Amino acid sequence: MSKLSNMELPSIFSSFAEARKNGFLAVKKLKEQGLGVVGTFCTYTPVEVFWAAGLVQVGLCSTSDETIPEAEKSLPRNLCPLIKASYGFAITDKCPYMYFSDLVVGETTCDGKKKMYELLGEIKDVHVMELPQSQSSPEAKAWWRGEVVKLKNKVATKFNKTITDADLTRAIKKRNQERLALKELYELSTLSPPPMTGLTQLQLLYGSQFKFNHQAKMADILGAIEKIKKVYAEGQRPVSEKAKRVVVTGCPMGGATEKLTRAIEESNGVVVAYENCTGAKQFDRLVPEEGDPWTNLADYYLAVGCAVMTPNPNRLELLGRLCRQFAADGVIEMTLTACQPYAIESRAIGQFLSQEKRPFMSLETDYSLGDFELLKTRVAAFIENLS
Amino acid sequence: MTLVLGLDVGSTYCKGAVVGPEGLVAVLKEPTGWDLTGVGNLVIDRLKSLTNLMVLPVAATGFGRGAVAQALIRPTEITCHARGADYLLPGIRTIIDLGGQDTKVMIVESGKVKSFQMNDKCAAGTGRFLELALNRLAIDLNSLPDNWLPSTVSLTSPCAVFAETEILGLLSKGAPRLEILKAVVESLANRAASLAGRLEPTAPAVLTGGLAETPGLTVALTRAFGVPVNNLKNGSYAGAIGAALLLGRFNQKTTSHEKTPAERGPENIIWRR
Repeated sequence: MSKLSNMELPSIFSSFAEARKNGFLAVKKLKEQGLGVVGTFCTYTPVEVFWAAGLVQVGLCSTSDETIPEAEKSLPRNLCPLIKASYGFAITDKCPYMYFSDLVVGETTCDGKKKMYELLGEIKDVHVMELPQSQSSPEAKAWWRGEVVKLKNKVATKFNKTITDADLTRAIKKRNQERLALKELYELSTLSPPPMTGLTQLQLLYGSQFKFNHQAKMADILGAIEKIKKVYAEGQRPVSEKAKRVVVTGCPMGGATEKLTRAIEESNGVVVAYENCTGAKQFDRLVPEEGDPWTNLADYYLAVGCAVMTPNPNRLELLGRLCRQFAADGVIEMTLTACQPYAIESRAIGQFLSQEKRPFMSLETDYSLGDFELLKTRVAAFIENLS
Repeated sequence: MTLVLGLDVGSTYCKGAVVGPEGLVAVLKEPTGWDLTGVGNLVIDRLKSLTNLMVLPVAATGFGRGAVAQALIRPTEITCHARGADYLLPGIRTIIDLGGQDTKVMIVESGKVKSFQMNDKCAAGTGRFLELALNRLAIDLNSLPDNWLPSTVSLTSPCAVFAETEILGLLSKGAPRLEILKAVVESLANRAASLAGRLEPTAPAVLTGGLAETPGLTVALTRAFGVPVNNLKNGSYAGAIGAALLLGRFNQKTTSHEKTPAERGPENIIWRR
């Protein structure tokens, strides 16, 4: 563990590592300036709507098991840790982001989340968007566009704002710029050997969501890219050439689940790409900037390839593409305990990767740290047999 | 002569094997106890004197491999068992390793792991479970007759602790100890087979681990897996032998063509609680 934690985040990236912590103060400051704060959970949330209204948007997905015991007083034990932790942080007031949120926006993604939002609604103003369960039909698209417009109306009423098409288009352009920059950042790991560890990549991507000023955030991301390129050009190699290149797929990561990346990178592997909501799934595509912004926005978000969709072809498409682009030696999937959609879809992923001739392993874990050695044994055996 | 020493520091026994280009030279084991480093050194020293060698390069595997300071490599027991079992019985396809605290089922091809399953956070189906039951019954595993028939009683609890309670219940009802022993072994075998539910075990299949040479166990495993499971001579040393082979690289196969990733490595490894 020591080897990696020493090089966890070079000092140039400390602004990303610190972003979540500093973000608390930043949000407090913004709140004191009279800005409204919207808390969100999921990659399906069209954050451009909040940006268009001049609101602060912040991710509420929790990644630590600290408040799970409290949550289990109301929620079943056999529930996904992400849902339990998110609810736990809300009821214990331990998440300042939740605390500062004037509005919380969720979607009917999985059953666990949508029922948890009912409970959350008792203590916060929660707006739940009704997400269709499939992506391709015109009815589903029309429905979701309606939900996006409903969200706009909710935001307009709640915060007493008007949101014009021009406001939304500007917000789309801003968010697209960030997507492009973050994509450029993680695509640096197509290099062999990659210029950053998977842990660095994860912490950069995860940390970037807690930067609230667009200009500053863009400067930080582009600065990080330049710095990584520069030290690589100077010959610095943070990752061994022999490290096996792993693409990670499955449930969202960050915080406690960094343990999977650590297990991989302490076992002669390196995570080159994350095909999940912490990584490529958020940044891979752009919202079209021409045409009706509301339709564009709705279509973009509906196409996110999450296991809650049936069927879910977009996850396979992205995963296959990332494997080729990043020359993956293998794919490791992380599913969170009791996440039924991902656990069941695991079989389809295995079959798909078998056709693609990419070795695949699926691991189930939660937010506890007790299974680190168990994870590591399995990951090490998988990586040993890649060569 | 270049000999190498493989050490498999398991939860119950520390196994050592000395392997050379000509084959297996020496094996021995010691109870692991509490002192992992100490027992590792003891096995190494005893093997050195057995082989009359002052210096032996060491490879360590098993859960205690981190405690073996002089180990040059520390591969996982999964990789080592596959290599070792394939060395002892070339062409092996399925390996069932009943360890003290782990039960593993591995699908292998040419000594390489294609997929595997492993228990975790639960002792049922491990050697530890069997040990508890044998102690309670005060009976020896070898009391199982050859080709024994299925038990007339059964254990239903999936938990090692509750199974012991169940054994007491069966004893109080007057069930014969031998029948209860059969039920224990069947429960163990079924547990291993359900672990392998997502794999497709094919013959030839062998049992490795401390009980690799116990015929009574393979009878139950054969029934549970639906493929003949064979005892393996020196199978308890499979991990140690595999570790030695990985270090010594004696029988490295050379390939004339670049293999695809699927041919090179494991596929479809699913691990669920």
